[in-house]
Amino acid sequence: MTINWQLLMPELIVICTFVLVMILDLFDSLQKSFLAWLAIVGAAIALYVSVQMLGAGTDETQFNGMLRVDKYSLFFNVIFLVSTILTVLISMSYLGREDRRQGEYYLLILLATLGMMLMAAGNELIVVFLGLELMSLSLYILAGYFRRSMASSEAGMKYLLLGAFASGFFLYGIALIYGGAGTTNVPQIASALTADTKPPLLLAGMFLLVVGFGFKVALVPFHQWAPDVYEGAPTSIAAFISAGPKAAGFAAFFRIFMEALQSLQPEWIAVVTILAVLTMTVGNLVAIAQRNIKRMLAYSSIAHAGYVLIGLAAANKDGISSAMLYLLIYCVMNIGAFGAVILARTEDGESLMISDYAGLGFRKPLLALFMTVMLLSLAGFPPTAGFVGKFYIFRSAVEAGQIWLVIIGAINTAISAFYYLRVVVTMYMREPEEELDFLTYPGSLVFALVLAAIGVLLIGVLPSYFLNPAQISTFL
Amino acid sequence: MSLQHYLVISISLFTLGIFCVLTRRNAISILMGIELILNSCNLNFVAFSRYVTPPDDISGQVIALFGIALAAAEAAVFLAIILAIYREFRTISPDETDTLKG
Amino acid sequence: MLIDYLPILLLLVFAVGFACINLALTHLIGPKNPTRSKLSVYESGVQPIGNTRQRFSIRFDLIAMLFIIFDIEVVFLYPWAIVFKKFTATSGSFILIEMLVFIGILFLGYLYAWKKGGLSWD
Repeated sequence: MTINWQLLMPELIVICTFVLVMILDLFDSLQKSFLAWLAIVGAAIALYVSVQMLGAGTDETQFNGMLRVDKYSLFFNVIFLVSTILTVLISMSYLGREDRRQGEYYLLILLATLGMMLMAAGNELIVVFLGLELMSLSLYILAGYFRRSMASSEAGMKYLLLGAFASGFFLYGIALIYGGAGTTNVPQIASALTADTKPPLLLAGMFLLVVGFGFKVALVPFHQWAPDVYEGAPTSIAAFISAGPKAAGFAAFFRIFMEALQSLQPEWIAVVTILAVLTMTVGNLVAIAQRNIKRMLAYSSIAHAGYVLIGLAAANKDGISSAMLYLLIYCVMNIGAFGAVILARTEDGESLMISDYAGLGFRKPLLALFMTVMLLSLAGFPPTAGFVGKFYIFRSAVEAGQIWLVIIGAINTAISAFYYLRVVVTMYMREPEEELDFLTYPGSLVFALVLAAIGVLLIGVLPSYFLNPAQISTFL
Repeated sequence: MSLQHYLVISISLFTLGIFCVLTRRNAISILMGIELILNSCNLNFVAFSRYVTPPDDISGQVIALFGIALAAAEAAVFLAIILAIYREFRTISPDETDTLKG
Repeated sequence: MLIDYLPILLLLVFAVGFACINLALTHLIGPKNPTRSKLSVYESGVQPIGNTRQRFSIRFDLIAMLFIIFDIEVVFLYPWAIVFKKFTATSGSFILIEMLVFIGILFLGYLYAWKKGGLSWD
């Protein structure tokens, strides 16, 4: 058996960074912020290699067809690594210098990133599942990272209980598909299945997979964990959970459903369409009622998963590529929005109530500017990236003839504009009820936000530079 | 013994696991329910590996081993979080540890 | 024919001999200081007679968790051992190195847990 190590470079770099950070974490004399920078450098090198390989148009399978390193997985690697870098940047000041345990925090983030990369490259259901678990187990611990905080511990427990429950469904689904097709390899399942034979085992397995993925990417009605976990978890981790893992879930979702279960398309398109409508509508409607900005962003991220699902419901090449672009945009802007929340810190901690943001537009112009850019992008206003993402998603659905889905999506975008703009209005138009003493801006956090803002505006102004790679990167 | 026997046992375990997760009010019992679900999956894998795939193909059995290792890892993480919960809340009932609300 | 079983015989002799020599050595040169608890039946440090529903210190939990993790990793050696023979001719060293890397990462995890104080009592 020969292994082409060059194909595995991004994964290997992340593993080596992980091992290096782990060893260096044992030396107490070392500045812990050094570990964070090391993690960033490792992720950045992996990002560079992924982009290079994407440009070279790699497409090969490894380990007897278990991993498929193609442009699709490399494009998702870019999304994951960008999320990782931004998350580590916004975490550094948030954790504080005196936190002696933060080495393991960066370790777990790297491990979760590795899990996501395996999910995107997994060409075998079991590899996808192991990647999913590697990612999820790391995230459970990260969600409960603040051991002394009731909210954080509770978030960790809720995330783990529901996540493990969902993993059970997912694994049972894989088992049934294995029984129905006699293999867990994605292309082999596709060839074992022909359009006129639809074994009931496979149908049942497919529905269980939908439930499993639904939990992991927080689709309504499997979303109940998301608001609690986002609220209780450290804000930087809420940003991370809402970005990379969601993209990873969709990466595997698309690959399995579009390739392995292609002949069951009529069945799953119906399910996915219903889930998309429910997810968008419930997410946006409940977000309006939120007073806490982290919960609002949680419901907004649920709604965004609904928009991405439109791309899968379209079930064509354009649908998948626009969903990939949307996920990239969404990760950048959502981490940016959570980063702006971290920026609004006072001596007592974070100001999480939307009413605390009153008057920030003039007292903290930079913070308000960042927040406004991210929220406008989340709402989908031109010339931000959010508009571009929604535009291409809706266009692909129109081409696929899913006109009703697009109309519902457009109505939802209008609803969402209401609660995003409410925060902006609060910042610029309202007088503060009490004077809050905000802390000074930490450099690394501002750097992350500048990167995110540049990304959001760049994709918004020059969308074709990002859409073209997405279009050539689908596996279809 | 035929494939059906194994599948019936497996689906019973799966259903019992779900029932346990949904009805128990103690985090440890819920964990047991989740372990039941994972083990029902493992049983499925082994049974399918024996009856569906060719005899020299042991991939289903290997997957079951991965499932076992994973359940152990999950249990370890879970117990650690439960301990943190107990220190803060003095209870491990998910109903009573419910401070996060909209 | 019987010569094929020579390794097994050697293994038997070695295993039995190792045990006997060790027992004999400790018996001969070890210091003897019998106390009541040392003379009682060995039950891994637990009182052999009494109520089974006793409570353990919570500090055992960390060791228990580490035990679960490192114990279960052994299952991955079984499928590896089964296929190893099949590939010894073609890529035996590669497969061996692969497993050594796996065990190396586990060992690193063990060192990490140790250094971070996961195994210390206080």
